[in-house]
Amino acid sequence: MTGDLQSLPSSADAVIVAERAHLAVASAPFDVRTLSEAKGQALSFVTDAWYELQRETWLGLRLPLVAASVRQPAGSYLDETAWGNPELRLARRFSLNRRSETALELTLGGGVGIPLAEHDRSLMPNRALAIANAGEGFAEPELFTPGALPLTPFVRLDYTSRGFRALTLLKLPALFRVSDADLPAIQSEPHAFALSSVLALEAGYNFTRRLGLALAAQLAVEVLPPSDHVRSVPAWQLMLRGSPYFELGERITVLIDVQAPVGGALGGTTFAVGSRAALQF
Amino acid sequence: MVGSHYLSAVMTPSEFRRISALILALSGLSGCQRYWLCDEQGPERTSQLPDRLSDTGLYLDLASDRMAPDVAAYRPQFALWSDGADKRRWVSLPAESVIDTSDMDNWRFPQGSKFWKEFSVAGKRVETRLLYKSGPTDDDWVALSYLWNDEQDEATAAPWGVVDARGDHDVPAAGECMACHGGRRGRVLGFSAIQLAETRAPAGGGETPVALDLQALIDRQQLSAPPSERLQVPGNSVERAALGYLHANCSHCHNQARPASGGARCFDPRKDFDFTLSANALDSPQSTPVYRTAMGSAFEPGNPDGSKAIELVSGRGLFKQMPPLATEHVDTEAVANLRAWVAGLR
Repeated sequence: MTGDLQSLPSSADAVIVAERAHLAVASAPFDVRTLSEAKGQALSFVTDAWYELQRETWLGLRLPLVAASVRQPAGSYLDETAWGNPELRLARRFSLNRRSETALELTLGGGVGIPLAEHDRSLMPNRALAIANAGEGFAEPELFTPGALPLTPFVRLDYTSRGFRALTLLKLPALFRVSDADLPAIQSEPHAFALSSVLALEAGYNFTRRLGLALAAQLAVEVLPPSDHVRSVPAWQLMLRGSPYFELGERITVLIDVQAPVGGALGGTTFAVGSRAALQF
Repeated sequence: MVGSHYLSAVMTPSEFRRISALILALSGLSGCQRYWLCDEQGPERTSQLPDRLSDTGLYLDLASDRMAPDVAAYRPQFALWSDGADKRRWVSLPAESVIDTSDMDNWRFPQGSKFWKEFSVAGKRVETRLLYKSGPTDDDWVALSYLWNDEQDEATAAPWGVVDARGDHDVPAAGECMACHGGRRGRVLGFSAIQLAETRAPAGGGETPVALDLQALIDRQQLSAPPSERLQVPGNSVERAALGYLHANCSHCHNQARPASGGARCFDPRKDFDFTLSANALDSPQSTPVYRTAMGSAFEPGNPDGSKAIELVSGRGLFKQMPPLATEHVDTEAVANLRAWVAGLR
């Protein structure tokens, strides 16, 4: 496995726990007229756990937490922490082609978010979450959008052959507005429903038995934004990621991520570094 | 506010803030490692001020720009650079009140004092900032900015600030005000013995005539201890302009008489420099704190290109500008004067 948080263990292990810690420096559009950008640094933690309910049927939980230093209009910084939306997921894996050294697997799943992402009249948690979302190239609105109930179906295709692994992931986060998230009424226009699509491709190759490199490209397309944009924002956002990784024994994989959005609203202003670690047992 | 309850179920918000600040500090990217992080001024404080500027006591008639009778205009002789914005300033002191001037460099104002500063860009008012002393101690100042509407007939409170109001003018969040004002014990900047000692006619004209200066305050017996002699910034015109610029733009952070408690601030600027103009050290340029503390460190005499302070005031961008707050454009006139001043130093 490459340690991607969407992945499920390929062995017979019944539990996988993964932790992602990304530090992003971002300047993101923020859809409030008087505060039209969310700028700063955010350290986002996403804990991701899967449990095999029965053979090839998995129950998962994701828990996002953000610690951010948010730039204020005149240039000072305030620290803020905020929970994102926890997400319960269910997935079913199908083996399409399994031989001794190659495998092709299809995973169908979906997640339902619990709309607990923090927000406040100061919009500090809102902005902290926006910075974290920008650090991921807008690919995880289901985790970082306050005031919304997310439903996120996904489909994933995994191919492994000896030291080579590749995956394709398509997910469609749909956000149903459940509150105004403290967005000021005359300064913003939140929508009742938002939809985006995220397509991610990642390929990894083991150069040695334990060391490898994964390269990923991810395209997030905003079909319906959560709010009217205050500034002109392209509907798409591409992000590239390089991840050297190493495997510790049979159960632990650690990836070092360096990722940067390209083009779109974030290109040139945002980048993130961090790690992903996955433990299966 | 669901999230707040959710958070408190795990740990207290202050515990979370401390942990996250530590993580960010360890990462090396938090503002707390640098000099411009400040805490929020909570809503319980800003709620002491009205939502509309017209209710703050500044105007007798806002539509005709007539000020209330107890409001007086003033102008510091050295102004803070605000990216070229035009500014007007007013003060309202409680009737029969006296300013505690026992420390001539750090006046203490009576409870109920109000200071306003209005910013205009391209002939249109953008914001008016208000400082209000709500209690007897130095920590009782409340700050808030008011954003003018397009019709220019009212300004409303903007406690979280505004990004790019009328062009690229940024209105500070209320919590940011003490990032600068908190660096002086009296919290008020620009209304001091030295700043009011001389009032110059505005270069372009058109500003409100100055009604209040140091002599007027002395005449009205509003100073507890009036200065015993005339306060005049020493040196030639280049030296005075340089010292004045540093006093108005840098000394609220870089001074050696900072409040004992940080109050609503946690950043830690260099305190070995002191860019203050002190009423007690005006005999000659060499007697000023700038010459005594910053030569050979912030400024290299005779070498403007090798002077770190000039490099910083000439730049803009994260980690490479001074002042670090509330400016996105270089004050080229001031930089030219600073360069001339340093080039002439021996």
